[in-house]
Amino acid sequence: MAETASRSIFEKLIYLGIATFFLWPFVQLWSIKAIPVFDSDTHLRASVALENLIEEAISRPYERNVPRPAFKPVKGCEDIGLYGRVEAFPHPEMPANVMLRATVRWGIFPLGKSLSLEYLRARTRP
Amino acid sequence: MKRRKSGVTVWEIVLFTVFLAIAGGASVFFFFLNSEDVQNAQKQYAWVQQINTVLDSVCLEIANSAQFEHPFSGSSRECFFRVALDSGTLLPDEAQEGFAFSDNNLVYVSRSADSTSDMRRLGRFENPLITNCRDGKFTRISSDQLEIRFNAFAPGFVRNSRDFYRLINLRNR
Repeated sequence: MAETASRSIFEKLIYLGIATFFLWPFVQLWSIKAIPVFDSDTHLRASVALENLIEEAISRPYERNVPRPAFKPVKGCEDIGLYGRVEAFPHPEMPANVMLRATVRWGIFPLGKSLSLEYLRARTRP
Repeated sequence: MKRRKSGVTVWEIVLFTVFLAIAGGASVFFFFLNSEDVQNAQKQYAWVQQINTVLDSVCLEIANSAQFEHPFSGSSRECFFRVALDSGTLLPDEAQEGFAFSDNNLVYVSRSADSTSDMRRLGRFENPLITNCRDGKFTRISSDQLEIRFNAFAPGFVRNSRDFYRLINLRNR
């Protein structure tokens, strides 16, 4: 009779704990966005592309453009499917300053990753 | 009559199989991690990362230069600028520093009125900063934008090269 009875809630919790214990390191690796062996090179290229995007955005004068532009493919990184966008908007608390935010993303939906970099600059050059 | 069940149950067999699969997969994975391929990939990654670290500091030096001089327009194999000092003062016009692609190396140089000579080091990086790189050039895209582009060959690999490309916003023009 004890053999046919289903597992108690306590036993299920124990199984969940054991599974979490095994899987938690992988969850941590995912949350820092770098699984060492497989993803690091893509990650490095994406971060360099991100720096290039923000440098180009800084060198432009501030222009009032669409608030959230669409992602466009990054030139030279088509093979890893990298998309990037640059947002420029007045800083919500300091209206004399402009916030620039560059974002790159790659990968398909459930496994997609994104990196972003922000830069605060004066609206006019000193 | 009390009947005891003997032998293993289905549940135990399933559990055993699952653990066996995990252990087998893990050991194959660890052999793969120790393999030559992964070591080569790690070496190459370390190489790319090292070049990118050097490029970061090169870009910082150029971006913060007090006055950017040499590729006024178009592209060149070298670039020169007047450095920004901590004191906020400017060195005389004829004392300039810069970076040059020469003999397949990227070197940090200083240029005075009569000669150009290699500097000892840039920050924590020894000269030459980057070795074994081809087709390096600095391109002035606009008045406040400079582009560095070159192709570097990985040490120890026969034909394994990588393109490096950086945009720099010249903060002070």
